[in-house]
Amino acid sequence: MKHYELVIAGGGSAGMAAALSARREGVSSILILEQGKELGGVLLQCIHNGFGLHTFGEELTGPAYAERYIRMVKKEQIETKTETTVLHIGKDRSVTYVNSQEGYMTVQAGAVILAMGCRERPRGALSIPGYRPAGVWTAGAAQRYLNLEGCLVGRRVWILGSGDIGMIMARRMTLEGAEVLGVAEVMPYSNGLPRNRRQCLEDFGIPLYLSHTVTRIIGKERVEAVVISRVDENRRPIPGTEQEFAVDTLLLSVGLIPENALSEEAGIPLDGRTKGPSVNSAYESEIAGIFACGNVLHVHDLVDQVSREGEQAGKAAAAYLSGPQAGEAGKTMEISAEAGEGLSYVLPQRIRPGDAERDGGIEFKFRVRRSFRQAALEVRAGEALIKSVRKKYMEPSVMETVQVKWEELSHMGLFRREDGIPVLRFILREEAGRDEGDA
Amino acid sequence: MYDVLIIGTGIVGCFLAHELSHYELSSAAVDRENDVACGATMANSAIIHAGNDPEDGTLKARLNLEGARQYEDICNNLHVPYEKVGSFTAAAGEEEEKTLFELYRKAKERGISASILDGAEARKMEPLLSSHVTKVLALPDTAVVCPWETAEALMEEAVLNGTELLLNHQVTGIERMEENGSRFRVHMEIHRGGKENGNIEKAVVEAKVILNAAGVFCDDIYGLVCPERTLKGDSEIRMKIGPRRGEYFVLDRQEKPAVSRVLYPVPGKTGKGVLAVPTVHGNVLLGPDSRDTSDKEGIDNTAEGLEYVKEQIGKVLETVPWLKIIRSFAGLRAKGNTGDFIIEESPEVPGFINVAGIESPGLSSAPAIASYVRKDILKERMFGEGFTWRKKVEYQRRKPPVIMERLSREEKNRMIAANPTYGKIVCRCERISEGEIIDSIRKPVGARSIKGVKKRVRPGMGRCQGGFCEPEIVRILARELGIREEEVVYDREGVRLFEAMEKSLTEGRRTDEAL
Repeated sequence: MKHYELVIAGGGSAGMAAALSARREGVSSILILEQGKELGGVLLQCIHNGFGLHTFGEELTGPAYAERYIRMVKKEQIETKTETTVLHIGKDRSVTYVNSQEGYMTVQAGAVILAMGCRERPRGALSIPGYRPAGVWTAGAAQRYLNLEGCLVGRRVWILGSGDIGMIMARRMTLEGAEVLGVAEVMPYSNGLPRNRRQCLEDFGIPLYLSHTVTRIIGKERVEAVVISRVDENRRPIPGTEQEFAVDTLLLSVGLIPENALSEEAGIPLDGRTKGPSVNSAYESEIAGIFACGNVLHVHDLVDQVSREGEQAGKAAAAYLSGPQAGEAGKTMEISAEAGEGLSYVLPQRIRPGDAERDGGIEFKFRVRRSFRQAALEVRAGEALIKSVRKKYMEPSVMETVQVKWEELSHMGLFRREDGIPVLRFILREEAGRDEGDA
Repeated sequence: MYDVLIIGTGIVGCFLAHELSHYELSSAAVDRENDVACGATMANSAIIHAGNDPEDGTLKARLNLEGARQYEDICNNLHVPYEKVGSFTAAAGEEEEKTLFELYRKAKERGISASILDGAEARKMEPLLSSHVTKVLALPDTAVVCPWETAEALMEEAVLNGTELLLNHQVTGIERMEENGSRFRVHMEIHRGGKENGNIEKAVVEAKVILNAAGVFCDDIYGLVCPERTLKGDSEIRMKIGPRRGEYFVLDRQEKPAVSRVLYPVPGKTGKGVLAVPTVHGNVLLGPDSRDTSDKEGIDNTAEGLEYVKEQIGKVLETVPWLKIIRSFAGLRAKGNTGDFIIEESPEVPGFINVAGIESPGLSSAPAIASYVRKDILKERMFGEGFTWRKKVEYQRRKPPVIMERLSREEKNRMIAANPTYGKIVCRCERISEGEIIDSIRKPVGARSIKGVKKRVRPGMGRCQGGFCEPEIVRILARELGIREEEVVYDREGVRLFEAMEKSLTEGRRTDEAL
């Protein structure tokens, strides 16, 4: 069986960044396996700009951003197999893939990085009443049709869900001459970035209907109309609030789900909140030597964040490979991180003190459950308050980070505890009185 | 001129075509859709019921029992899936247990293997079985199939052996005549390229015998030749097919599916109740509800229907992994008005044979329906002097399709070496290669639409529901059919998938500076 030090499943932004950083750390035999015709993943169909502000200090389109990484990967002569589908990953870090040239192949990896990205929640998951006609697509599928295949999927469009791709497609289809009649969002807040709300909806006069959902799709063979209803606080449609809009297309932007079929099959434990693998501070899953980064781990807002996470995972995989196998040794000393009140998740889920000490601290990523104004994020160990950070405004569509310094952790004496696993709890506390005062 | 014309190519029409294709006679099957198996065959519970349920003395009871026993061999010969997963009929409390024992008695009487288990014992085998269940009737012979794959394979074999398949042909009129030994002249409209687009051609065929297997449209078809829609026996009853809708949820494939056998509640007044069914492809179906509708194309999901399924599934399941739902759908049962299948020659129109009202257990009965029609209904006299049933000396079997997932590593690699398209995965969820998709288009009775591909080899059936692979399927269909991508249809002919392609896009683009 052929052996690689590092095999990366997925050649999108996370996978490429991971490969490059592992190479910088001295890993010589790296293999990237990519399902698409070329590297780049979903970036290739994201022809709008707004990528790379953090990574390159300039605004690029998706393909341009991908191109920079593809060139670096080529320059580093990192082995890449495209039109190759990973079929199985073993706990022993064996990786089975298939392509037209080699057929079914299994290779042995010293370390594996999962970088499979995410997929869109389809209509079926929503159980919207009505027929199942042509004309209902996920926003990403419509984006691919338009930007890569040159097909406009509709002329009069309704969009369900205010995820970023949905809003970006609202603008994109408007620019191609389609009329986007509105965007319905079941939650009382938008699910995408504020800048997309401004640049893609407001600037084009496309109305956003918060606390609304599509309650019926009309049309047997092709979409003819959709019915929109207001929903109550439990997201149940309110009878009598129906409005019908004649459209030929319904696009769905109702959530992204980390693509973890392979991880599940491999027996890699997932976090029910992120829907991605549960990882430690080195982005290592609960299976030694298998790492995860990018949207397969948790859904990101910006590609720059994905690239950065990829770099971190690549570096950690390199460290694992040059080991003493810190993963195994560190297990007994891990601290777990928990999302408490007000948070939907926090990541990484486990911290190895060694990582915290070496890097001077740990950057935690989290999302809030609902919009908060004037809230404080508290990091607690039992009763002890380790850290509190005040934020003016937080919303679920924006991934937040908080840096917890090594001193802050070590001062708590956490790592000297011998009674079970210490837990860090992340809690949001709203300063309601102040908020009203301000208003 | 055909000896037999079959109207409708659902599972019943396909079994009829297959049965007749073994004999020396000329036959054709027509369907208004661009594919076989587009009606109830595409949307049902996919179960081969063991046969204990129908009432004594009915055709349903007889044909279900016979059909269920034929399925395994038929599926094996056709190389389509068949799995004897078994079933539990679940009773909660004394009242329901009484019914359960009645079902048990009937099963035994009919020679069906059956046993009664305690709730606790049953839950050991089926961990998600509701904790309210006190007793179950276990029927090891209950099986599941893939109805549309079976129908398509049957038709493929029939076509290989001389049956003519006329798709996109809608029957609009049936004339009775006697000249030249032909009894019927059937008028049809051909809907290639879609009805709306005005591309209607007309066609006429002649046939000695008509088999009316048009599902929910059987009464309309019968009405074309016999406005009274007279039935045998009680002259007061006229054939009426009242569509009865059933709605379902589909759960994603899981390493360990939620259920490993069919779970029925104790049957009620309106049918078998809301079931949990493991499919041959590793999904789980939850449903159906059961409501009469007047719309014969009313296969839309309703909030009430889906809500009912959610509520009622609790009778058999303790918990449901709702997050694993990937689709909901609805189908129409062709419910007749006699309480039984209506399989008989018209008392008014000699040579016109109704195979109607094939509601549950229609799928289970279908093979037996076909042999019953041939042996007991189709009489020599219908085909004229000197006709005898002669079996074809050579019968062409269908070539087993290449299913990469089921091959050994060595076989897979041999296939890919010979044809590299088998190594290119197009559908990542169900792991379908480009080669398998090409096969599904090129074979006899091949796919002509995105849905046709989906029915045959499953891309789009998985958790992404086509989000990733659909553009690739469009490209492959266009290439294989020699058409432009914008001419590819999702399902029915003439229903456009795209509003504009690149060229017209640029033409239609706004030049507004502000944009």
